[in-house]
This record gives sequence, C-alpha cells and structure tokens, in this order.
Amino acid sequence: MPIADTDLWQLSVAEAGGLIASRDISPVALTKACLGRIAAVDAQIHSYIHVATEAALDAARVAEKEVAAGELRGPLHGIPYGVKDNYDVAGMPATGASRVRLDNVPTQDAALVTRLRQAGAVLMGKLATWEYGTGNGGEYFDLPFPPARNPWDVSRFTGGSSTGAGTSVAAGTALFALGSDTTGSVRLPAAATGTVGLIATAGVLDRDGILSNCYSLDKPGTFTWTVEDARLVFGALRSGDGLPPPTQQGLAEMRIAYIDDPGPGLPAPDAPLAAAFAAAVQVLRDAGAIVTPIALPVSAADCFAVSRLIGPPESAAIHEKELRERPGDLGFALRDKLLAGSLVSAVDYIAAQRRRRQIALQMEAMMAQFDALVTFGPLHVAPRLGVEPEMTAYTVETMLTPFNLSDQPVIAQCIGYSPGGLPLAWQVVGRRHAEATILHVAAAYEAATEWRSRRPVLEAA
Amino acid sequence: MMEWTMERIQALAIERGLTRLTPEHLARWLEIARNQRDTTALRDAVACKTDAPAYGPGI
Repeated sequence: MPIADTDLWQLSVAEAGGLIASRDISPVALTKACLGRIAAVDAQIHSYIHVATEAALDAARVAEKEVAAGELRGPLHGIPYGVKDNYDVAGMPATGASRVRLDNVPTQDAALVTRLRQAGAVLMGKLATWEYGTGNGGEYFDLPFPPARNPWDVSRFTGGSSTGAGTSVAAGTALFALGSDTTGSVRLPAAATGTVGLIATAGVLDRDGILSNCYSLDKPGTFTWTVEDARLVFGALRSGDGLPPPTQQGLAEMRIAYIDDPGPGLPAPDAPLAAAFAAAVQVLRDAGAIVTPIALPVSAADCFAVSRLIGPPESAAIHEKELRERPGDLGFALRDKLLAGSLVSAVDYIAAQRRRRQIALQMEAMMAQFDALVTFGPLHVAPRLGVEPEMTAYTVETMLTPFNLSDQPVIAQCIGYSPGGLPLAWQVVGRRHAEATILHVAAAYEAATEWRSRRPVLEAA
Repeated sequence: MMEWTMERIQALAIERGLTRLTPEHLARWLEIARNQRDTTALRDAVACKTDAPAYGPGI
C-alpha cells in the first residue's frame, strides 16, 4: 500500500532512497514530511536547536531536479538529515548549545557536511547536544536551549552528549543524523533511543570542522534507524573506500566473543537488559556464529578512570579561555569538566596516555582470536530526566570507554525493550578498521529480530 | 595526596588567571579537587624510561 506523503518520515534511508531513485516519492515531499514531523512533535522532544526550513527545501528542490534529470548521486540523494550542533555548517549557527557561542556562524562546512552535500543529502538543521558536545554526564536545565527528551517516554533521559541526534532519528524528525563520541556520546544516546549508533576507527571519518573536546579521543559518528542505513551513511562519509559490501545472510563460522559480566567496579546490568542480552547472544548462535564468553583484559571501570585523566585536561586546554573570561556563561556540566581538567597534572596525563596504549595492545591481542565482540553499553534502562544520581549512573556505569581507548569501531544497537517500553541495547565491537564486519554482524542480528517494527508513539501537536 | 583547602584553590585560580570564578564556582572546584583519585598505582603501572606514540588518533 502506498505510504501517505505525511508519513514519509517513517521510511528508512534505504527505503526512501529506493523510492526516490524509482521516482515514486520526491525529495521535496520527503523533506516536507520531516518538517511536518518537526512541527508536530519537536516541541515535546526538542531534538533540534535550529531548523533550517528554507535551506532544506531549497536543497530538496535541487535534488528533485537532479533526480528528474536522471542525475542520481547515490543512496542519500534527497534524504533529510540533521547534525549535532558541534558541527560547522556555513551560514548556520553553530552554538554548541552554549551561551558563549550563540553568535558563532561559521563560513565553512565541516568535512562530513561537505561529503553529504556532495551525496545530495538534505540538511534539516542543527541538533541538540550537551554544551560543546561534552559534559559530566547529567542535564542541569541551565543551557540556552531545552534538553532533548527521549521519544519513547519524554520524562526519560536521552543519554548524551549527542542528545538530539538519537532523538531525531527515533522520532522521525530526521532520517539520519551525525553526532560525535569522545567516551560514549554516540553509543549512549543511541542505546537510550533505540537507534543504531556507529563509530569508526579514528581517521576513517574526517572530524575537521567539529568542535574539539579531546584530540586523543574525539570521533564523529552516525545515527540511523537500521543497520543497512548505517552502512549507506558510513559509505557516503568515509574517505576513499566508499560503500562497504552489502551484508550476506547468516553468521556461519564467525567467531564472536561476548562479555556478559561487566567486571569489577561496575554493577550488574538491569534485569531486563541482562535477559535481552542473553537472548541476543542466542540469536547469534542460532545464526551459526561460534560464540564464546570472555572477559575484558582490563576492567571497564579502570578504563573510565583513565579516560578522566585524558578527556577533561584536553578539554580544559582547548577551552581554558572561556573558563577564564566567561565562567558564569558556561553551564554547570561543562564548567565542572573544565575545572576538573585544570587539576590534572601533566605527569598524570602522560601516565594515562601510556596506560591507554597498554590497554589498546591488550585489546588488540584479545580481538585477534575473534571476528567481533558483543557486550553491554550502558548497564541501565534510560533513567528519569533531571534525577542526577540516576543520570550519572546511566552515563558512568557503562562498558563504553574501553573501546574509545582501544580505538575500535563499534555499533550500538537495539536488542529489545524493557517492560516499560524503553529500548535496550548492546555494542557490537570490531577489530580496528573492521567496520564492514560489525555492520555484517549487526545486520544479521537485526534481520533475525523484530525490533525495527516498533517506533516511539508521540501525540502530534 | 595534597590536602586541598579553599586557600589553595583561590591561589590556583589567581595563578591561572581564573579570576572571574565566583565563590560558588570555587567551592565546587574545591569539592572536585578533594574527590580526585590517587594516581600512584597508575603511575607505577606505566613507569618506563622510553615512550611510544600514544597521543592522538590512530594510536
């Protein structure tokens, strides 16, 4: 049955791209559907900081004309997307959700925005973020824009810092989104919103034009509704190699490790998450994978502690001028991080970097025996927004940081829902530069389950 | 570990030019300072006389 124009926001990137290529839908109609979805629901979820309505419609009209002339640029041609507001877009505000940057309007696009322009994608606007795309793990309602809310339950936390990216894709205010991850800022909101979050090996996706927080660890990342969409977007973004090969069915003979014990210093996962994880591992087994339980060579809690000696001091070095000149204009979370970073000694910073290298080598040796690894991301179901101990636990008690330190590619993926209807997620982790492998594993899992048939229900305004 | 006091925090703020921090900011900074973890075990674990590149993307 043909889909109504007003419901086109429900399409995946792959579906919409196919329908655009066959001229069954138009980029303008698709863009208008997403703008209509923003008008209908964004006052509840605040996924956007800035909606570029006219620019989006102009880009859609150009795409429509090109497609009509037979000049199809690829699978993202005419597809609406959003970018976290720490990406530069020429002529568009780049606030980083900060009072300090409210007047900042870049004159050049971030490298990945340029790539998406070349691919013919339609930029809808700038998405909500924690201040500067970083933070201390909580929301304090003290920024110039309201925090994004979880579309599965608007009283719930989205995780962060790419808050609007996860929210927009889950709610259909964008078909895909770009975010960034230093110690979990793509995978945490992807987990909370039930979307697919992908980070690649460092250097594979160009981070030029993204507001820096930590030279050592910052990475761009993508948010999509499906794993196939992640493949299409990743293929358009990465330099040189283009689209990874499409996924084959099944996982026969693949060696996949799993970690179902978070290890010392972390709590047991919430019961619904633990049950969903066990069931998801069984799906891999049923698909023919050789699955093996293992433990990390280093505790995730220790990795988090190491990251606290790298991220905050690098942020403090980058943003120290704002702390000197406008500390009262910074939000609590960013100011906290910069103050903490200002206390880390150079000796401790270098010790942490040395430890990072040890950890990376240990993880590389561990991964040599496996094609991929699955484990938890956050250990909790998305908590209540504004309840600080719950938000902090959700952000800090995770298995995310080890793979930042080891620079491995990771996909965060939905593996079910809690009894209250909130998404549950795991991480699919690969060897460095093995993005195609984790796309394959995650796609095979997704194909064997029904989780993508459910979307958040939001009452239209 | 160093015993952090408000006097030390205030002196550090002056030394670093962080003179626009309010008393509330300084109180919070003191709290953060007092909650820092001891790094002796970490430093001992990585002690070495040579180093390897580990300071950026593509470790």
